[in-house]
Amino acid sequence: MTAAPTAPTTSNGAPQQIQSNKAKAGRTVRFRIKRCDGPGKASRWETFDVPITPNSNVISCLQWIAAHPTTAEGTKTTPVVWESGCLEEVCGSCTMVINGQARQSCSCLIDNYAPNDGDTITLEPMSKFPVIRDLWVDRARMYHALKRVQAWVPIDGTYSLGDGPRESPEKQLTRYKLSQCMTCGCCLEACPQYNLEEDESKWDTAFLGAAPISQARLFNEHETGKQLKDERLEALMGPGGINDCGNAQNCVKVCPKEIPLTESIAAVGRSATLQAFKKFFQAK
Amino acid sequence: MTAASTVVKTEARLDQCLSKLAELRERYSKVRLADTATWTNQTLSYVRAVGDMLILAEAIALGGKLRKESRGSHYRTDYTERDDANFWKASIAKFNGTGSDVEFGEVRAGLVEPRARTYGATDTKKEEKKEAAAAS
Repeated sequence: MTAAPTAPTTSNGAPQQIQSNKAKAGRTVRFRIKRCDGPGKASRWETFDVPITPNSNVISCLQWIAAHPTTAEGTKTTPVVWESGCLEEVCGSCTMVINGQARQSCSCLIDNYAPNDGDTITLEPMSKFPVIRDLWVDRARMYHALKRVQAWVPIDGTYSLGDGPRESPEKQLTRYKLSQCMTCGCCLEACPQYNLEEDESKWDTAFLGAAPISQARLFNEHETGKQLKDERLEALMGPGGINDCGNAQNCVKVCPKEIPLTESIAAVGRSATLQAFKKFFQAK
Repeated sequence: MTAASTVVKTEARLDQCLSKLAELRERYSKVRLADTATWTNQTLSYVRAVGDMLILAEAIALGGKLRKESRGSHYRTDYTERDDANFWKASIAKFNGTGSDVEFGEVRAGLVEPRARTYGATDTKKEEKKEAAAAS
């Protein structure tokens, strides 16, 4: 029986730095892309073989496909349509489902996802939003949700309002994490309680989702934003509010900004309970 | 443009760039779209923008060629010093229907008198080198 291989050591016995698993240079990666010509049209899969340069990401590969719109079978096709903005994982525009999981495509490095020649990467649009074309979906419902919870600080005019109220460093640390939300939709895509809803009239009662709930907490904890706390909680305690959360905890796992979404949902749940008591005992 | 017309420029390279741009404009006049769909056609909007990019690129490269001096982030390896006498002027590009005509226009004097930018360097060796280069 051969001995199990041990980690390489240097001459003085210290563990040697294992060379990072460098992906093969000059390789080709196969992209399987779910395409669709427009709302309500049938979807189809198209395959492309893309030559990979160092530090390629999914978007640089989509750009290559746009310049060489021929499938792996040799059929001429159209460039794939997709949305992107910053290309540095701060805007949230380029969300798509890559190898079955929602993530930003600009930060999806091919060397990590497909290190070997001939590896496959699948690209699909988010399934919880109506497809406009190919990988581009309509996210209007996300912004509708932010309106439902009034995710802003109310001001009564655009004249100078003077200095804002002070905030303790501890609170700033908590709120800063929540403020990093870029409305990318990954949490909504991953949530089993959040479903595709194409009928806009149903948006007011459909589940809000993790991101707007966390944004409500962000603004409830703002010294001026808390003026709208009662109204935000009203929306969160109604249909499609926090009651719809099933505690799958997928949201916090997929958030690209690592926002503590489940903490926010719990905090909002607590606020809602206190609010319910408050209203019960209110003399009105 | 990235190769010929960012900070460090040379006349010969800029000429190469301008003839390449002329070639691209000629090809652009016969451009065909890889996507002829009438719904959400990103190729169409991008191709339209490329036409304008070609015009602006020519204006930039031509302005860089005509400015025979170095000034700020415009550095000419063939004219390494700033020439206030001839080029303390604004480059003005006017579209003439096909390309750009570049002229030099008046600059309003500000509150600061133009002077050499040494960025606080007090290295006498460097100054000596500069004087030697100017003298040669």
